[in-house]
Amino acid sequence: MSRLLITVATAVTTIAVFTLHAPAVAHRTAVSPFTFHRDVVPILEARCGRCHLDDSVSGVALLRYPGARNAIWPIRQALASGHMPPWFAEGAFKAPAPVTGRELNILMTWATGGAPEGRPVPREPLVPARWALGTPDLVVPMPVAFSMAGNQRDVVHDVAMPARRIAGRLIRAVDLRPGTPAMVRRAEIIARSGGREQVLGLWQPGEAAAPLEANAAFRVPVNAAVVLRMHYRRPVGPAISDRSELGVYFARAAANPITTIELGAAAGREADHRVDRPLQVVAVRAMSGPSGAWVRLVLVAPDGARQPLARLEIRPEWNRRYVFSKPVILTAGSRIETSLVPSADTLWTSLIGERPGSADHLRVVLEVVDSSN
Amino acid sequence: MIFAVKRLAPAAVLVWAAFGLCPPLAAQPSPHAVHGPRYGGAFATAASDTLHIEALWTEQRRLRVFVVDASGGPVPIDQLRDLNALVIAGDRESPLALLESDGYFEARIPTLTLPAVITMRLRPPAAAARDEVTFSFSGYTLDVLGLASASPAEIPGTLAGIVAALADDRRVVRAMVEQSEFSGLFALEERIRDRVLAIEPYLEPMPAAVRANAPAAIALVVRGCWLLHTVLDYGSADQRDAALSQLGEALDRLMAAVPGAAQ
Ligand code: HEC
Repeated sequence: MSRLLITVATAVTTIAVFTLHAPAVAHRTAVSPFTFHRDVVPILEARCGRCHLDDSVSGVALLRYPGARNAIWPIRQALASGHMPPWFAEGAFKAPAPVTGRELNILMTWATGGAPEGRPVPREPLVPARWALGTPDLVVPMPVAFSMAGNQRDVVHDVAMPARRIAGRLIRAVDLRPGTPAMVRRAEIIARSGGREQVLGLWQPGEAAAPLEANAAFRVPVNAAVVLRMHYRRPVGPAISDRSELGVYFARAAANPITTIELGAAAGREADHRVDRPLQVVAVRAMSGPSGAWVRLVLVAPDGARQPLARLEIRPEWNRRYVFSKPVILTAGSRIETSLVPSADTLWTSLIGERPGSADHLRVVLEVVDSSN
Repeated sequence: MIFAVKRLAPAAVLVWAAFGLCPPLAAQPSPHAVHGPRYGGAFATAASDTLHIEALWTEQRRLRVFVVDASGGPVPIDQLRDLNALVIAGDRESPLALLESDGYFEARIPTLTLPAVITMRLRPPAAAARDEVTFSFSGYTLDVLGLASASPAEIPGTLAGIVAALADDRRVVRAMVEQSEFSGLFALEERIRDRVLAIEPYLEPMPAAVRANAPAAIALVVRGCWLLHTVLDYGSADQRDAALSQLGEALDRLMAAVPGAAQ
């Protein structure tokens, strides 16, 4: 007997049929008029494809029918809960184009309504760009490959990178090219010196490293070590190894060096940071905090005028830098108000089966340059 | 009962489950209706999460039983052949015959009149009784092939009309939450979704600020609708409540982003 039927065993179904009096409107049956090849693939390619190729670390190959068909329930969860596409911020950021209401409706109708395949449409395969910002000025491979044994799942591995050609330089952007995309979940690129760690980049799969505005750049200390903090996730299957490459884009000598402002707040309370000199905010990142909670940043001008700066949802797995499309001007004497809105909405957590995080200490970092430069 | 039903004559009766052990997030049995791909109906899930069963009572006094996999896909015909299927209505047992070319089971029950209690038993050969799963069905709908879906007439022909209609929907959402009265939720979410998507064509001549903010607000409402739909299919009462209030907030945001009355 087939395994399928053994697991189902016997289903005894009792049906009680009622007569109904009150006229009410029945719901429409969800039979998708949209088919995979004609309607769904173009949306998946544009909005999801770069992270959901056959060898992506997401493990969900969406651009082929069998992969998408097998994932219709996770697709429904991920889309309805807002977990996918992963963008957990509101603000004037350089952001990938979002899924529109119409597109979302097509994807959900298809996934809910039987996921019909339709007739294949010839299409060029999606080839992700090698380096989103163009060829880097310097490419540094990991000195040795990192292997994961068959019993490992998630491993954080610090790689000491040769820093000779990076230390002491001004860096406009860094990027990562995973050697084995299927196992590189995310990475932090860090300059470490004197016990201090400076984040040069937070890499996420499928994400183009956004160049910073205001001619901003990181000054890597002369004595710095460069560390690649790799978050590996082994796919199901045999042992596997990775040797990723770090891409470095140098800035012109006249670039504005970036400094950081650390913000924090306890749940339900507000915290203030006073700006003592004119600054421009180029990027913001939420480094830690209770997962699922929202951080709200509000700019308060010296005359009391308030302007929302950003709202970030804390998703430890999705740590990233949100780059402002235009630098935000902070005048001396203004304040940045930080508040933490605990996750009232437990829906995404319950839908994707995660629990809201504990009260991890909130740490939000603003990357700023001096306006006087 | 959170599901709305309607009589539409003449048509078939879709029998559906309002109870079942649902995959994979509901810790306890919860209202449930997965909308089937082909037959326009809803499924009961088997405990293993691997099979769904849907039954359809037709005007010709036939009971059709569809067996599909957990995601609504077909079960290979040889696995269906292995099933020993029968239906019990009143004190009468009738075999469910597999119609191979159609891929479903059917029983003729000429004496059956509604309302009635129907028991279906699908038993793989040599299955043990302890593996039995019981579903209680507590409602039915006559909606076959979308006959009762919102008609286009329900979408007003002007932006102001659409926004006013959505404002009414917003009030319905609020009243549902306040009064814990949840009938017609599927129909409500579909109506809101249709209406909010109908706003898109009106955006082009709008001021830049509206064009900048409205698309995200529209997408948020569409997502709120589907979230509600998804938790109605699979979720718990808590999730339903949370989804409803999320949808309400998304509507508020839409109202703020689209100045409908200005049109
Ligand atoms: C920026 C990269 C990226 C984009 C864009 C993206 N995904 Fe994902 N997706 C991931 C990663 C990485 C995972 C693995 C789970 C995680 O770490 O959150 C994932 C997981 C998933 C899952 C499995 C969820 C689960 O519960 O495991 C589904 C389904 C999914 N994505 C669907 C989509 C769809 C549909 C889109 C487009 C609308 C999309 N994704 C866009 C990166 C992406």
